[in-house]
Amino acid sequence: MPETITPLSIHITEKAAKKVMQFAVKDSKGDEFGLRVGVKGGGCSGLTYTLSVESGPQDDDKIIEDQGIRLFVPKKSFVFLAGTELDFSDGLNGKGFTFNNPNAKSTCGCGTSFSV
Amino acid sequence: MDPTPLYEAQKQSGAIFSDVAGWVVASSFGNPMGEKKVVQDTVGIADRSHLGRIFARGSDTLDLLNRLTTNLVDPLPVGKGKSTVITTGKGRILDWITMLHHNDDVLLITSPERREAVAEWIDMYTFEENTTLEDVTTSTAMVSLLGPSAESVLETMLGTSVAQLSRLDCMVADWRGHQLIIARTNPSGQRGFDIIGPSDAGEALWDAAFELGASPVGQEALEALRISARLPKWGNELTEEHNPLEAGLEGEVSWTKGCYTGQEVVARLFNYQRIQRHLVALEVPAALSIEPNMPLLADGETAGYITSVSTLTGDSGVPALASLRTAYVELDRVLTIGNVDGVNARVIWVPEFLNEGATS
Repeated sequence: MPETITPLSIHITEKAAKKVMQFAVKDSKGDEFGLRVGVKGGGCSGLTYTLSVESGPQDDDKIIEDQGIRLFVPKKSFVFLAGTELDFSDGLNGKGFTFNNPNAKSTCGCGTSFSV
Repeated sequence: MDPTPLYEAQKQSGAIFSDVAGWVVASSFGNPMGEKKVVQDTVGIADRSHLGRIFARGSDTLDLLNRLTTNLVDPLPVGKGKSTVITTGKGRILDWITMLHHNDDVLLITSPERREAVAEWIDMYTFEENTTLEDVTTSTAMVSLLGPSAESVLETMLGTSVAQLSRLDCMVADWRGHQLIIARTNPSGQRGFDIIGPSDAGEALWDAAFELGASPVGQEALEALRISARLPKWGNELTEEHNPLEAGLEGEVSWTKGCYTGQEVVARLFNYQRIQRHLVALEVPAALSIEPNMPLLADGETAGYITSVSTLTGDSGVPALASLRTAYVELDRVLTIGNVDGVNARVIWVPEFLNEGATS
């Protein structure tokens, strides 16, 4: 039987990691800070991403470390985010933080909402 | 089939029962035409306990529901209510619900067939929000006082004024040791009130209203009134195949509140005039066996289908509702009822926003 390999982590690009670090320093989040990445109901397609720089994880958060940044992921959200790459695009036409989510079957026009 | 808490009281009032979504519901009390007139002229009392009732509690409830439904429901002050449509990501209808914000809770009233689907949907989209749901359908009763005299009967029952309540306003009242939620509604297009209380208050409410002159009204009369009022209903006009604009619920859509699930599709259909079909009202000939799902033809082409037909004759024919393809939506258009040779229906109403040029 072929083994099905499921990407079970969430990745952050170097560019996005640098931006998170800037926010953490600017907001004085301390040494235990991390980026909380989750989803919530709503947005045009049913689910929308949530992002916030936090001083520490919450109980039951899954903690993933990548590019020197700790990602705090609520358990229920992780199911919808496994395999996602978080990137950052800057400049006048940049979209800010963007999600390349392999679980998303469709995405709304502005890219902030998705369905699975 | 499950009896509602009002079953025995209605049986004693001469109810003829039928099955609605697994509930034993009074279809009439022997004179549906008279029951309809009672609601139009005086005051009737109807058991609507078969509708779904779900308490949503927690500080994030309004924010969550605002993200999952079409209408602006956040903020919704205590004492206020709002009807709104839960839509899927494709903009299709999951249910048309009423939200009543009383005390710290929001009571969601759903279609009889949809309470489980609504609860599952909200639960699926609840991540870290402080929101919990409690389905209280089987532990509560819901009766409606309907008609021009409903207000005075209710005020006599409660011993307090309800005149201050505008449409969908709600209040909590203590009555004979029971806590009741009172909401001004118009479930069949007639002004009235919904009263929700514990199951064991149901029969006492029924008897008290009856003693004050409210006459029992069954579903057959309420259906006739609903169809005349052009109000869509789950299973007839509202299905997972329709979006709110096709079902005549454009008034339940906020165009300014921002994103909600399905918003992109609904907004695009409206703005680019891509609504494929519309709810319309028809008048069909009396004394014919016309039923929902019968096709409607125009010049030999299928133009749509009937969704609801009253069992009661109106002033000039039988009121009906239909879903018509947009190209055929026109006042006074005559359509052939496909399965009944030589019988025509006439369009007597189209949604008001079409008259304002939204799809012209």
